[in-house]
Amino acid sequence: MEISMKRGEELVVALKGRLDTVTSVEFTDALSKEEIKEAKVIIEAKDLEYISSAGLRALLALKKSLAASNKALEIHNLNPVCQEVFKVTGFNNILTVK
Amino acid sequence: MKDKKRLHFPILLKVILLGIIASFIAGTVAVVVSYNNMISKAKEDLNADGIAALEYANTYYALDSTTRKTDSFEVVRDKVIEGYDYVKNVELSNYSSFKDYEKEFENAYPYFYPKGLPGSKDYFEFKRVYNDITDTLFNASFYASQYTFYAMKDPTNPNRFIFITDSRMGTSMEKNVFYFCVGSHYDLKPTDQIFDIGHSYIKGYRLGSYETRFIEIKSDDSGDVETIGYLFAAYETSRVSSDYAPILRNEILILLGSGLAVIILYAVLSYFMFVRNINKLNKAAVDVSNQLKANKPLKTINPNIKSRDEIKTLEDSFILMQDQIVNYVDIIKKDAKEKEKINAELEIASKIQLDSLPNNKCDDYNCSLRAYIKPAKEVSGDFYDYFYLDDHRLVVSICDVSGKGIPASLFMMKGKELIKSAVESYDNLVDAINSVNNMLAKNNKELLFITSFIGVIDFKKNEIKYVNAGHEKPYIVSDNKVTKLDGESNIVLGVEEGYEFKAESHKFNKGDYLFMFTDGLNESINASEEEFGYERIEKTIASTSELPLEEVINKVNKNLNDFIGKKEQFDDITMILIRNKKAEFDLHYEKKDYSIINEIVDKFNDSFSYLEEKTRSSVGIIIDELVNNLVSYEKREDLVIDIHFEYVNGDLKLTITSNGKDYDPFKNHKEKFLDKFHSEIAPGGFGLIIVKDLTKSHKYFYKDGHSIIELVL
Repeated sequence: MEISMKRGEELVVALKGRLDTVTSVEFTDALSKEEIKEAKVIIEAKDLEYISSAGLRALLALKKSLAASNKALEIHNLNPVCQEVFKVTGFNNILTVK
Repeated sequence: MKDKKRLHFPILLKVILLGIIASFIAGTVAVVVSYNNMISKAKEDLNADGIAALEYANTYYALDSTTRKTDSFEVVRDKVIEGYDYVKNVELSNYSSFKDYEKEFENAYPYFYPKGLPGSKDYFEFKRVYNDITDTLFNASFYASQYTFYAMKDPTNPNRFIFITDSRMGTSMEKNVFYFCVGSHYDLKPTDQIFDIGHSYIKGYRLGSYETRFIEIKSDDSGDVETIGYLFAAYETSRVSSDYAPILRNEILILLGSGLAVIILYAVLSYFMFVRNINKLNKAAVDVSNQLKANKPLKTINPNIKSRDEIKTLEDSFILMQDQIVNYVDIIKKDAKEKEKINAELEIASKIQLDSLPNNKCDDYNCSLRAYIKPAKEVSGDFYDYFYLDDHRLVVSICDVSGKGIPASLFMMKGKELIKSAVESYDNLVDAINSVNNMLAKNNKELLFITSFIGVIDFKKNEIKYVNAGHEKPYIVSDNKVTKLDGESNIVLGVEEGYEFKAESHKFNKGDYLFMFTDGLNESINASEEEFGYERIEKTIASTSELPLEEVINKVNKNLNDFIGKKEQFDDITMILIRNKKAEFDLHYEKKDYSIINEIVDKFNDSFSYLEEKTRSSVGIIIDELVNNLVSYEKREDLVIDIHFEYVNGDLKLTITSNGKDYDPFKNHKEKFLDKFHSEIAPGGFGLIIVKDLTKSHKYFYKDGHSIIELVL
């Protein structure tokens, strides 16, 4: 799993690989180290192979922590498998998926 | 011409050589013949002389009381020769006078000085004559002759003497004058004539070591010519030979000289009559060739030969040929352009044809397929095709169109499309092939046809149903054993409208592979016209069950190339290999650690790389959820997890077995999770929603101390 960030008006976090039990911990660690000043965080999921429930939890946790400081989280370009996971778990209703 | 070649053996040289050989043979024959004639004539003469001389000598010898009388001519001659040899080797300077020598000789050879001759007076007279002779004017010549063998007065004529002597006394014989002194009682006068009875000497023909001769000496003392003595002489013929060798030599030289003159004349004439004209023709030919080389427009070159012979005819043909060359050059240029165009089009056709074939490799959860095609010409008459009817039925065809090149390839394209659409639209393979055959046979005026093997492989039933339309029978390699698909062969496609094809079935188990090929393979021949044949193919593919299909193809190709050597391939060679895949593998872990999740997913992805990405991602998620649950919630530390992946009837089956507690994860998970998730995120809870969503079926059971989850995707 590779995590790369691009700062600007929004913080774009590009994920490459799998977001699962092991890598979701890395993901949470990586973002908690960042001081997020931007109003919006975008997860660029174009190269995300799949996401498991652990990854969903990490995303949900991120959304909660951002919401506390009135910041938004968007998830972009999910592949069909990930979309299916979002759909079946209802996360497409909780998280902003574009 | 710069690079004029040196002629090693020009015509002129040949003419001269032939002349030399001819004159040499003719000269040799002439010399040998004339020499032999000369010799036999000499022999005849001598024999006649000798016999006559002996008879004459015997007549007047009158040695009644001695054996001498009975001696033959040959005996006398031999004695003469013996004596002569003795005398010849005497070194006269060892003697103070000739008499001393004579005495010695007399003792050694009493034969020549017979005692008690009747009329011993005659003998003495002879002696005296002898002595006189030695002292007289012919000393020199007499010394040379050394001795007179015998001399006597002719009893019938007191004025006549008979001598037997060495003829070498006459060095002046060469001048045809024979000087001889007959004694003091008779003064030989210059007017005395000496006649040689054997004229053969004068003629100069002699052979052999020595010859004896008899010479009559005549005198005209009384005014009339009268015989006064005879000379019986031995002659060393080697001397004669040396006398006459120059004559013979001259004859040969004249012969050679005139021969040489003829040869030179012959050569000069030959040059002007033939060689010069041939050179002219040659120069003209070189000029024409240079023009061609320089790519200039051809100008007709006339060698201008004046003679009216075959060379002139050759010149006519040469000029005619030049005209034809001009025509041909034009035609060839046009042809070359045309051919270039055709080749370019053929290349495109070949590319289109190869592009129309499906990929030469295919790997999916059912099978692994490898195809190999090597056209003998630009465009091939072989083709293959494969496509799925549904997720577990693969249609494969391999065909060989009769004929080669463009016509065959057009027919092939037609056949390929017909087979595909027919097999796809008919439920029954036989109906499909009947329809393909009927359509190909209709209007098939060129009578092209296709040998074809069309099979439908069912990966759920693990069998192949096939129609063999006159094609090479494929093999199934199962557990390293080779089986020929030996079912009924039908006729080829495209020949007989209305023919009812028959299909056959054969078991095609997991792990087996099907080896299909065209006759280009088994009919490939080596330098001694031997075919590669079925046996070699069978031998090559036996025991290859564990080999990847590429390596089987490489092995066949290697054995084929080793067999055919440098022989050119004359037919297209096509092979298709399909393996019914054993799609399963197991993983075993004895550690309770999250890191195994990634290991499992990575290994799965490596082994099932041909699966769709979606399927692989689903498996990744499932593993992550379920193994995560096990690692997180199982209390025991000596956790053992076994994962088994398997393709069953086209579906991926996943079994996770552990020694954990008996707990069905599907039983109690939160269906209504979404309503509560804000307040409760139950670990492992909604992961199972995802798992259920991604699987066709799920099952949990506990057996023999193992908790087992079975999932089908």
